[in-house]
Amino acid sequence: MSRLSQAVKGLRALLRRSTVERELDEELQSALDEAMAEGRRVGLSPETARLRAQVRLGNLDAAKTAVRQAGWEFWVDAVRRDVFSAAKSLRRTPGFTAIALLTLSFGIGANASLFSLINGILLRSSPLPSLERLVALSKSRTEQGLNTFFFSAEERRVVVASESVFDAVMVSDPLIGALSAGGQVSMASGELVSGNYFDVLGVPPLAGRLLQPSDELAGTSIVLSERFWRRVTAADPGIVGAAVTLAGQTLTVVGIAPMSFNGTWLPSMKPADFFVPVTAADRLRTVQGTVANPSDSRRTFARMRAGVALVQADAAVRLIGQQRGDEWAAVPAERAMLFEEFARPGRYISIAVLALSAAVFLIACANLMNLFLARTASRRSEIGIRLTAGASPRDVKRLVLAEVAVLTLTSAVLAFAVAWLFAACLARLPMPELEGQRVYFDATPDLRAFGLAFVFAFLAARAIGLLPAQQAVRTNPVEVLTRAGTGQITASAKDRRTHTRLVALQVGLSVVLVLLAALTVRNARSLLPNREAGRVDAAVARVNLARHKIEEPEGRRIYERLLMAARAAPGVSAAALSSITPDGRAQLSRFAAPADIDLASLPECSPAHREGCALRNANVVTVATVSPGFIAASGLRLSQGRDFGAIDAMGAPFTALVTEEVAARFWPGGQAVGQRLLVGPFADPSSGSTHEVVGVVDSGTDTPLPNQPSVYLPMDQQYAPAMTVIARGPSDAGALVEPLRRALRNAEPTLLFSEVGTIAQSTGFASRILNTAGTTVGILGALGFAIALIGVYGVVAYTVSQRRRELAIRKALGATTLQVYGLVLGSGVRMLLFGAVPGVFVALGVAMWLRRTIYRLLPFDPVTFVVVPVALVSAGAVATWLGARREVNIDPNVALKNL
Amino acid sequence: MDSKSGALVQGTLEMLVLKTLALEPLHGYGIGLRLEQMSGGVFSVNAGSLFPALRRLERDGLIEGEWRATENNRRGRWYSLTPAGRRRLKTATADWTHQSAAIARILRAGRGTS
Repeated sequence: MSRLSQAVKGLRALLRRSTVERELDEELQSALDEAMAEGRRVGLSPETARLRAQVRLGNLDAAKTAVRQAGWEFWVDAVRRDVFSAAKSLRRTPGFTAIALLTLSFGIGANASLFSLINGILLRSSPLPSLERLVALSKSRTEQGLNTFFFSAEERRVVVASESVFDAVMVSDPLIGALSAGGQVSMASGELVSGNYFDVLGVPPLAGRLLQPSDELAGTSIVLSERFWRRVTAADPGIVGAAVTLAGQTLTVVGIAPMSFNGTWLPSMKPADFFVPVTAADRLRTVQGTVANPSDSRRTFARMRAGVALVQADAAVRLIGQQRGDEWAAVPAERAMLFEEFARPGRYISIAVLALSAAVFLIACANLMNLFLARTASRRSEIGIRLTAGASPRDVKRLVLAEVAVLTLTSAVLAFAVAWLFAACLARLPMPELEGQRVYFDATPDLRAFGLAFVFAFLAARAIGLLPAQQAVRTNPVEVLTRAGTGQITASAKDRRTHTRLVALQVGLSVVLVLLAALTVRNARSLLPNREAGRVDAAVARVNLARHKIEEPEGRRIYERLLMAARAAPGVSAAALSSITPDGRAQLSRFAAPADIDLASLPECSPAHREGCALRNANVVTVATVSPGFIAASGLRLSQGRDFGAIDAMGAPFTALVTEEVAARFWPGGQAVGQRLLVGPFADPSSGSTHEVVGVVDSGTDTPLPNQPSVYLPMDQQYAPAMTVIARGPSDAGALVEPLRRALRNAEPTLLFSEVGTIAQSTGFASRILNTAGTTVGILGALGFAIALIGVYGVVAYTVSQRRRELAIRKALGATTLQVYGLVLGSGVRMLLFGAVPGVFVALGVAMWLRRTIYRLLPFDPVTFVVVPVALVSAGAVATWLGARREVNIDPNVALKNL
Repeated sequence: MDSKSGALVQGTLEMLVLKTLALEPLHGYGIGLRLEQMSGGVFSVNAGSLFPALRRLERDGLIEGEWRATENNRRGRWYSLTPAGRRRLKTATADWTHQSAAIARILRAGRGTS
């Protein structure tokens, strides 16, 4: 009642301000009149009565103010007044305001958009309503130190039987395959799921129906994702009920899952395109993820009954495991939802990126604080006048804080625009492809990012406003007014130290950022194929027959036809096939040894050792299978022997090519060609095959192919389910891409070719991610440094203007312009070094930490560590010079006259 | 009343205003006058304290203002208690009696020991 009455009456006062004011005047006037009338009644003269009434009532203006302040609407009014006066005062210095807005909106915007990006990759999990009750089952075998989320059908049945804890057990497993729908073939990633999958997750259908337990019987239904449906079939409304082909099998589309559901793999940058019942797997050849597991081993989740805690579920699962002599556990479902190769680096990269954006924000704040301090200092006469005109120190403080608040809040709004812009730019960037699928980065800021921007703005306001406000309050009006206009109001030594420290902080942080960015980009480049790839490059295309369910004899014929087609393509002078992907993946790790060695003599291979001849570095090789003519087509050279040819056919004696390094390892000092090499699985090397070495590959030659294996086997003798076509010609590799693509398509129109392009383009996924990360850090670093440069410029311009008289006297006494420049630049460069030197050391420390945790950075890379700081300090020196120029060139007569 | 006396006095003033209005509606000056009379001249309330208190009480819905003619035939704002104000006066009086008795006991005890 009281609250409501307050609100209603306050609002009325706000809306009908003049009426309320008039009534207040009238009421006070009537009180005065009454008091006077009272005086007259006791016989006082009108004059005395008036005086007495005034004394009695006190200062009516003060009373009016007090009454106004009694309601909450007064504060609305006060804030509005503060905002207006702050905006007016900011408009008077448009340059300052523009720089401040720019600095802060980019500082906050970078944070909002990076948060959104990380959020999109890592945090924005599928909005699964039932996730809290979902656990993943995990199994660890201590002797192998392995942890797996895969459970067999039999194991799942045991878990289902423990009804007191779980009410549903659900399966979902990744599956990648060529999916043809609406006349288009594309590589799609999806999930093999149990019939209760959508029920357990509580996902409603967008169209048609989702999978049900009955779908497991036939295993012929498929659910498409809304994203896939829109992207590939152009939102064809007739898709439900239509037939599509997945990895050679015809399935019926029963429904579409909504866009909000990305499947159960958490980095939503790789959302699921389709869902098929697990039973369909029997008829599909699954290629990735499940191939290493027994066919019915699947990633298994269980839903806890309402009221069951994770601890209870875990205990129950452990007990089941113990009874079976295994170590089982129930863990939060999210644990099983991250791709293993992504989980660790992904987390580190996101922490790193967030830390970096925080650093940019810090730079922006330091810069703005500096600008504000300089501004407050140069406003001393204005503040002095305000103080003498009756403003209290609190009023002055409030004005400064209001200015900061107006700036930061405006920046927060602008920052949001910056974040949108960033998301739009990111959406246009070419995204890396993995196994022929696009990876999605979504940085569209959401409400949380918006909230974050405002939180940052608030923090910025608190951080930035405090010091300048205190400084403003310290202003002594008498001193200021007596010296107003004389230019003698100089910054105190304390202020100058604050400036220097703030600039040093900015410079130091941006040196760290730029250094780390340079290191990351250099590191990413070092993972890329040969940097001189422009000289020896080749056109490539990859085909994976397994995805088309094509088996060995037919596969060999297809490889033959593809090779012929590639060789016949216009402009191609040499072509070959290799099982290695263009970016060097898909190498097989094998045991190898000279064939005459006694395996039993190797301690690792003793029968007592259960793992077989495991992991003895000397016997580990990486193997690729390649077609005849591979050496010529790949640009490699042989130091001994010959290339593979038609004679290395299926029935012929087994042959091999080895690198010089392998030759030296197994036949030190001797002739490798003609020797016999045993290549086989680690578990049982004696089951392997023996190959005659026919050639040694010269390791010193330039090849565009990255990460080459150490042993090559002929394709005809060692079948591989996927191959890369490599084609070279006298002309530029880029010009060969289209002819190669056309020739391959004409030869095999039903096959899907992925990673079509040149080797230089086809860089590894990891290095692309690193490159993207490095570029992001680089952009941040550049942004931070640009802000820092503005800061250096501003502070130098300000401090030099403070030294105007000193410099003018020096010049009048005969100092040359050059000497004065030296003086000014010297102090500027000292300020820069003050930040840059610690920055280098911090960057070194961070780089060493990164090297231990994420990737092989080269922390002592001398070029980066010299070039970057020197470049940055030079840029800072230029900013110093620009800031000092006007004051140094001033005529001493003019300067001294104005003192 | 002096504004330096703080929150206690401010709350007290509001209670006293409610008390003056419990008998009959009054206008602002009348309230001040009545307070002075009732306190035997101990309290003289200036406009800077009285009118903000009136505004606060009105905002809280404890009193109601109405424009009417004064005894001197001028237009003035007359305040009267609302039912909520009447209830508040009751509780405030009870609280005050209770507290002042307690304070008095403490002060007496203090005098005894010193």
